[in-house]
Amino acid sequence: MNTMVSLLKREHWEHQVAFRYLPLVLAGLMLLVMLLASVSAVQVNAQWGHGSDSGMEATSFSDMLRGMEAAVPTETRNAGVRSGLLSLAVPFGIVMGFVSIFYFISCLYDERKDRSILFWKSMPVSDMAVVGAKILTGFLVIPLIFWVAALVTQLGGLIIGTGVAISAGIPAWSTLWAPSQLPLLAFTELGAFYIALLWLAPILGWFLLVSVYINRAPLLAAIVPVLLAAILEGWIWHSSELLNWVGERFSAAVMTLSLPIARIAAGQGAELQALTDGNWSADTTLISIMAEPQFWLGIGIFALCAIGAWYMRRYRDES
Amino acid sequence: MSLIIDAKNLNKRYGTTKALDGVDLKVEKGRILGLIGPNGAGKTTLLKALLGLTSVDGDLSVLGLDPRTKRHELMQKICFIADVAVLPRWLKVSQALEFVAGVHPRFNRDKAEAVLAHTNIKSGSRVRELSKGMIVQLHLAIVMAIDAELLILDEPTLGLDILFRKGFYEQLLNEYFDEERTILITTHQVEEVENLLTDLVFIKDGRILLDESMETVGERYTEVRVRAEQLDNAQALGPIASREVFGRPVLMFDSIERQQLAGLGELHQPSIADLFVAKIKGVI
Repeated sequence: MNTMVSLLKREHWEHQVAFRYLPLVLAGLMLLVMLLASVSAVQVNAQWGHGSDSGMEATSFSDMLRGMEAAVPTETRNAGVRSGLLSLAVPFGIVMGFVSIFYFISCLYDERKDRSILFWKSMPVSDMAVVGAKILTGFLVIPLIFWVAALVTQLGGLIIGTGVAISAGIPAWSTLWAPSQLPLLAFTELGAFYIALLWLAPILGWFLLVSVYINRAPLLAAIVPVLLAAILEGWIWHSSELLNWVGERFSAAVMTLSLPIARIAAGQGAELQALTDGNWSADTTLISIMAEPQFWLGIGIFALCAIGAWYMRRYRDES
Repeated sequence: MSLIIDAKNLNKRYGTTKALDGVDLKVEKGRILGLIGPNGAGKTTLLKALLGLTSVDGDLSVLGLDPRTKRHELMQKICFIADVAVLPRWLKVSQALEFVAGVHPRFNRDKAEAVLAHTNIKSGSRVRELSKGMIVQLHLAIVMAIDAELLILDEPTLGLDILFRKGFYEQLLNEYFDEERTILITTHQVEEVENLLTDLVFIKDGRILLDESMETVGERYTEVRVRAEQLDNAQALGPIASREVFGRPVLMFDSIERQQLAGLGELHQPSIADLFVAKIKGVI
């Protein structure tokens, strides 16, 4: 247990930029943009309020908000709040995907490149624990970090929204906080983050395997053979199954990530609870995605790659 | 007398080259063994086999365990510092100690911190900010705080200045070594370890050329600065090597009584370096 914690800490120290600063910067930037937009809207509103003697027939920002509050049906408005909050998480989901890809391609390569592998190997830690810690980091810790950053951004967004609502004289709790269903929303999103990343499992597994094996330019070494195989496939069979298959993985990941929003958009007021029933096309849910054979095939491929990576780290001659 | 290392008939090939060619090695507890050989002699391969880092054929037991199958258990009892086992550059000194404390049951963090307190190494520094000497010092501080039974050093002081090299071995001998521990050292700078070794092993082309305790080495080998008129008599005794120093022949003998040699010239004890050259080059 202690060993695993230390191994996970090690991954965190090594990837401080991607795991700590990147989500912080992303959350900071998004909050800054939201804050600036809100402040300028409220300021413009104030100017319009004072400038009424100029004779201009202007609708103030507050009036507009109040008008919307009155005109738009509650259900639609509430759905808007939720999908707005969920959209804030999407950039975090996408960056999470990239961070995972780069993590898996480098995690067993860097220690050989900087020649620290023999130092790590001089510690009484099994290779299985080391590879296990890397897999846990990639699939468990990275989504969690980006999910927390997304949640912080959503909370910040709600707080900024509260300020705007107060300035417009709209009750913040009943228009923003209550309909946001934040705990359920956050929980659903965490599920979407994990499942989206798991769709990429076969690709990440391949990257892990390349990372333990190759001696230079691992990303290139991971991509070039796949491209060559795809070219060969096109040449011999005039088909593009391989690239389609890889493409489907990415589109399934993106679909999973945006699924909660898509469902709210489709049903207008569709409740988040409904995310746990239905099927892929019309009523796809996070649970139904997991029933796809392709999803499990991908995880199976990852498992094989992980065993290969463990074997190579254990038995490869390091010098 | 317990055997720490017991290797019989170790063989290892890289393609057509034999890195280890029937190596036998026995090391008892409380010894400091110097493993000396030219580049490519199989030293590193042998060490890697002992550490379970490479596959090898033959019977091998280190601290009663087979490194090929029990590597990570064995690593609780073995430490190694190697020129090629560098600390990762992104690691902070404090993180290094925290990590080892987390994974190593025999690590005493206070002891490591006490050793580091005598150096210029700050706990907030990253390895990349340290000089090569300081990195080795850090590694040594970690290793000295691990209650290991066997310490393997592979060219530990390569690329360091003489002051540092002296300090390294002094610290190792005075503050670390005791009869419960065993140390195995490979190095090119033979003269620096000469006085601390208890046993000597020469290896060349994957074969053991010499495996003796230092006392036996002292008794067996004698160098004679031969007087010109005695040269023929000296040659007749079958020297194992000869060289010239200031125009006078210096011959080395193996297992010849000192009294027998005394009349030929001045006798002295050959240095390990001279013995090494003699053994590696063979009879001239």
